[in-house]
Amino acid sequence: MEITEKEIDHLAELSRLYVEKSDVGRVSSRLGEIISYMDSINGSVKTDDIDEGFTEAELMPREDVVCGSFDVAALLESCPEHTEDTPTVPRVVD
Amino acid sequence: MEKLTNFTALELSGMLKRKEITSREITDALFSRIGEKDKDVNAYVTLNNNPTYSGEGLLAGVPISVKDNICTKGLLTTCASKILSNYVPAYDATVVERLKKGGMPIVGKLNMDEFAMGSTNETSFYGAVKNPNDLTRVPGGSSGGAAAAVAAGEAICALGSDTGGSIRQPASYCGVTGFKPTYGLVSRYGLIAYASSLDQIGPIAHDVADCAAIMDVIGGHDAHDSTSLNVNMPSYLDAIGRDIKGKRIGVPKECFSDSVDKEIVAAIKDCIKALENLGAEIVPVNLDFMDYVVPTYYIIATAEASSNLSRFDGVKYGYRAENVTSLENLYYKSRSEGFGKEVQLRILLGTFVLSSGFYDAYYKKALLLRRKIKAGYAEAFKNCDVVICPTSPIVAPKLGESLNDAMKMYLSDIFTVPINLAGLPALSVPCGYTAGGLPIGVQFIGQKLKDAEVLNIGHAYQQVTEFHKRRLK
Repeated sequence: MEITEKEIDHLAELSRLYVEKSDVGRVSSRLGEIISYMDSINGSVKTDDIDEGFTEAELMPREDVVCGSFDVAALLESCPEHTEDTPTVPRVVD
Repeated sequence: MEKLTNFTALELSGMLKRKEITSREITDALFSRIGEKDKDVNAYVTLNNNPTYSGEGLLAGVPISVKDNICTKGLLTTCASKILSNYVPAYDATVVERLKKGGMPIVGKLNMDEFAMGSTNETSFYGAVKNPNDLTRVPGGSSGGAAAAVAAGEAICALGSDTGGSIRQPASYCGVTGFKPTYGLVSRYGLIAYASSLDQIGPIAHDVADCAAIMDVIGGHDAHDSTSLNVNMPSYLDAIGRDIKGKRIGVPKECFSDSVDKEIVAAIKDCIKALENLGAEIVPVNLDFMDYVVPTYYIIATAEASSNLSRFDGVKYGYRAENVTSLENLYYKSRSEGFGKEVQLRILLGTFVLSSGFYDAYYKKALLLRRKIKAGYAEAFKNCDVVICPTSPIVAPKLGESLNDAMKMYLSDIFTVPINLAGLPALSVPCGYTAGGLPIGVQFIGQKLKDAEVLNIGHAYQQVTEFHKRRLK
């Protein structure tokens, strides 16, 4: 399956990644190779008989009680840019 | 006296209890060995300069090393990625809390494939790990640093994580023992997620007894992880050492095809004979789903990864790009500069299989195939207690060989990925060496929550073989 430059651009946008023009060929060929391999099973293995209404994980929800929270100052130590109590980002609204 | 770094965790535990040595002497011996070896092996990203302990337990005082995708409070946790190269967690993963409670000092954080995405440990931001058995070869991945450190005597034992074989395959390449527990038996809280429905933390050590002892320390229910199983966990250390007479070992013909290295097939056949001599019954089983396990795995793993890794945006923690012009630009630039090429490719692939127009043909199809794989194992386990197969169809390749051929790298995971898709326990145990001296691993796969059965059979095999006793100079 061929992955076009337009499709790569779309995937990159959804992924919030820049794919350099010079790298499009490499990415397209790697993705195409893997997707072709995936395509090889699509036609050959039947899945019509499998119930679609399933969940994979057995979720074990905890009791609905209030637990302790993290210390904001400790969390902000790992934050690249912040005020005293919150991370900061470039201005969104002028 | 033999070097302290050559002993197993349980041997050292006995020596500590008898007061023949101190914990400090073991960590000093490890740091000395790391100083001597790690410039070549590159197994560690960060060393803990103060590996103290205060808790109590069977392994109290025995040092352990931890893969760098498991959060350690106050100790750098990078996931071997530039995007987390400055991340110091404000909390301990549940497994780390339990190590501390059990009195196991943490020596350092182990190198790995970036975000656990790789089978060779060559995608690390901190450089490739080398296989201590042959420095021109890869140690396997993604817990390559963990397996290499144990094999090189730079760690007594380690915690790794296994999404598609990341504990078992490097254990096999490096000649050590690695165990992937049943999904949900060990808490994932504080494990930086790759593919949440597949990820599982487990031990890497010299032998099965050490793996069982470490499982006793880290296993058990945790309310912080909603997929953590709330079941009674036996002592795995108490469960090993039992007779395996009459146990049915399933041999799948699909795992002994021409694509498997001949020396590996011969070693596994010798292992089967050894088990037969111990009284086990050998039965044929069919795993007729093997043709589609690799694509099914890569669709599900990358889909989950593309979602899990969306949290890394340069805002709350980790790497933030400089000279950005807008919030959007901050996201794009931090992610593009912070993630390596293989990680970006897997995010793009995962985004593709989840995107409108392709979701049904790829992601939904893979979920249905996963169901078939689970049902296939359930069918096989009607006739046997444990399935045996090679851990990998190849021995450790040369550095650089696999990265140039990604499909080859993905296909080499064929014997390990279906276990994660089905959520089963599996163990890799050294079972021989090639003529060139490279380790070979055999894999024992068990039914869900029959972890003790798997460990017991692996332990019984190690009681009559010497492969796990080899120590590198």
